[in-house]
Amino acid sequence: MKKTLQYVILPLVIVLAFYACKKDLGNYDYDPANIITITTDMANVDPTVVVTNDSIIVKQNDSLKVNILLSQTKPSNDLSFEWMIIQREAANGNPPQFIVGNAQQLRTKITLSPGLYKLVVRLTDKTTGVSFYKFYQLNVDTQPWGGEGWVVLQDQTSQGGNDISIITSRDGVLPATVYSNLYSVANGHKLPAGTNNMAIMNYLNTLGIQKVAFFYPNGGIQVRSTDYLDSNTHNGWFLYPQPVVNIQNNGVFPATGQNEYVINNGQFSIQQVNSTSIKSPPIKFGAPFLGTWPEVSSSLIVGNADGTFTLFDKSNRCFFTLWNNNGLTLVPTSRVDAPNAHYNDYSGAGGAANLSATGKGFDLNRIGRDLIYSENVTPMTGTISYDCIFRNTNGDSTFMYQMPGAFAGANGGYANNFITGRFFLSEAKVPGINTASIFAMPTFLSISATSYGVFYYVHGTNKNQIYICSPSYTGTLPATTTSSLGYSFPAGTIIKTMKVFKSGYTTAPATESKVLVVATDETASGGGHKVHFLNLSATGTINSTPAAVYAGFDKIVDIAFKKGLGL
Amino acid sequence: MKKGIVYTILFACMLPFIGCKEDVPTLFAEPDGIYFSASSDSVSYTFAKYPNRTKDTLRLPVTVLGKPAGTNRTITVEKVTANDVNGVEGVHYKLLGPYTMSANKVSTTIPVVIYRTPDMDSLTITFVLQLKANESFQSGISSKTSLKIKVGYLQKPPTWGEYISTQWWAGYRDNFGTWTKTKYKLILDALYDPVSDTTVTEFPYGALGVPPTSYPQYRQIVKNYIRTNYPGNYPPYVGASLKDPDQNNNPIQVGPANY
Repeated sequence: MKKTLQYVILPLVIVLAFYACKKDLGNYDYDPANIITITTDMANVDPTVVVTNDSIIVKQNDSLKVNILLSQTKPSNDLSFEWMIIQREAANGNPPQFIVGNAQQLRTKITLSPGLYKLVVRLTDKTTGVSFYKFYQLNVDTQPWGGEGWVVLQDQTSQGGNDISIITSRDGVLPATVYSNLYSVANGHKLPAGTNNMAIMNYLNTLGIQKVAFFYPNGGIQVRSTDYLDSNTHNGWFLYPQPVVNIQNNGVFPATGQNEYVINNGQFSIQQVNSTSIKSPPIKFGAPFLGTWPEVSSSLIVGNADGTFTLFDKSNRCFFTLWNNNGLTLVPTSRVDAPNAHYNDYSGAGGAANLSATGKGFDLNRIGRDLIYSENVTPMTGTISYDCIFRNTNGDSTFMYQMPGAFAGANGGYANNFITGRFFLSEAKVPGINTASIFAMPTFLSISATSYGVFYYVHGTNKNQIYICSPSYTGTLPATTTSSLGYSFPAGTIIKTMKVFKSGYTTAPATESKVLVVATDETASGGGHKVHFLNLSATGTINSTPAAVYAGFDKIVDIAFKKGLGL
Repeated sequence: MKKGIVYTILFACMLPFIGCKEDVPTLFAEPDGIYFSASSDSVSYTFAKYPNRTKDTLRLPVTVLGKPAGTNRTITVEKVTANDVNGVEGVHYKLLGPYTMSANKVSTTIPVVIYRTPDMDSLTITFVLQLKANESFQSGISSKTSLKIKVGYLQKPPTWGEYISTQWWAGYRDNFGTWTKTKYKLILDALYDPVSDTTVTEFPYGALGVPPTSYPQYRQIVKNYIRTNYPGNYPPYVGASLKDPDQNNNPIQVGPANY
């Protein structure tokens, strides 16, 4: 043992001690890794597709070619590439077409639904394992007939049903193309005869989805918004089948909306379309909210926040407000559901005098007239104001009530104390108003205590004339509001419908609400069926020269603006 | 000693020949067994799921522990008497014997008729069936030779919740409120789907705002049902009404509930 210690362990310890003192000559300098910068080879791409170094616009089902250039601090050939398409919003999840390439230069076909995405190239230096990324904004566009424009619903009964065209212009400013028979080309058959209305709904813009639906007696059809292929019918719209299908209104709070509403056969239902529900299809309308109202008007007033709706009881001729708080409820919740009593008793300063013939106020519990039409006269942000056209049941008097949208919350609805806002539209001073049925309201004019904007209506008898009504209290009440002829089409022309351009875009375009789009039947004068784009002046007058006129349609039933997806 | 070594070596030499003898498997001569092949030791049924039915037929699965036979074989089933059994044959259920395992089959179901009786409004009826040995079968897996059947109707779902709780419970005041037999029966009727002949009986915690169906949608359907069939339950309280005897004859209201 002693020898082992003496001849083995002790020398070993001594040697190790000296070895430990050996000067460390290792290299501890930092060695920068290869830094790679990725740029787009703009000289070798289609500039109409790859529009900038990081923006790409490609049409659905088109091929996409992207060339990139690499700048390396320590050139390496041992690189790997991965091209991916991801959702613009993380909450939406990745699209079905995810990994699209593994070479430096991307060559692929884009089959994704139109919308906004992100294209990502991940470059990995395999010698170091370090990855570098470049992101592109990828806009998968539709074919021109599936994007932005005015959809024109036409009666083609002689051809077996109805069909649609699209005018690829929002406001008539830029030259547009008209694509016709889009529904039948896509589906091989016409829309049902009698299709009389359509709805184009835009949900929260980041969802990148849109709903296009057509309604006809006893039913409806939903189509894909980019190619108009049939996608659903009324049989799939409701949680429980409805005994009668008579779609009278279908819409959603613009731009940011998730509460889609429908008025079917006089009753109101909603469904929620949002990033959660679209992952668990099918989304269906719940049971209608029944109450003391036998039937509600097809016109409604959207509240100051998404999920609040003010409806009009046609039988009791009064308003009531519903608020979606994990299910619809009447507000204010302190009020029981009783006709003519959904809000507190009228409490406008000055009392009953406000409600007299010469007053300006109104009692929401006791309107006592028929609601003919309602439309917003301010943008759908902030405090929303509506113009509501009422008419006495015997048709001898017409009124316009201007009122804000209701407030949400358990104490929401209205205080029911309006002392202004009611305007008597005398037939003598507002010609043709007692029989008018076509109205349109712009949103660019100021709405305040002394300024009430304008609205347009088609003369009830002279159906070729558009009048501009300027609500006013100037002069002797009650009949001080006047109107003037704003635009006249050739004698014999019948205005079928007209709408103010309200885009639904999150950022309103310059011509938002400043274009009146009018569909006409000019067969009496040999002009056929046309769509006119009429510019509106800053004061609301109608420019006598149309911005654009498109002809060659069949009998026009309805028109609606369809915005581009995702904006 | 030497002889012993020789015999031992010889014996060892014979062993391989014995080892090479063909091994003929012995036959398992036991008679076939039979057992209830339900997934657990009990079967539950509620008439609540089928509000229009006053009787139904349960088909209890049984399986042979053995081989198919060339002839039909009788299955003997008997009721069991025990402390936790309150079902009465002929009142709550009826056996439809004789039961038979068809030739060349190893599984079948035995039908048992069950009846919705008034006592099911407050009780879960329980009965137990036992497979008995006979000339065709001996009892099979011992733990599966008996089966407990529980039949209910108007029993409070375990996930109902309370009136003062949160919106995630069916029983929360904004949804259906306090559970009572009369209210539950009304809900079953309101949510009845004639196409599938079923209704909604379970209301799991958290089904709020979860598409495609959720408490807001269910409660609206029930509310509409009350408004349509019992308009006197809501202001101005005119027309037919449905009062709840378990709640001081209050009219039943949901979404929000009045109790």
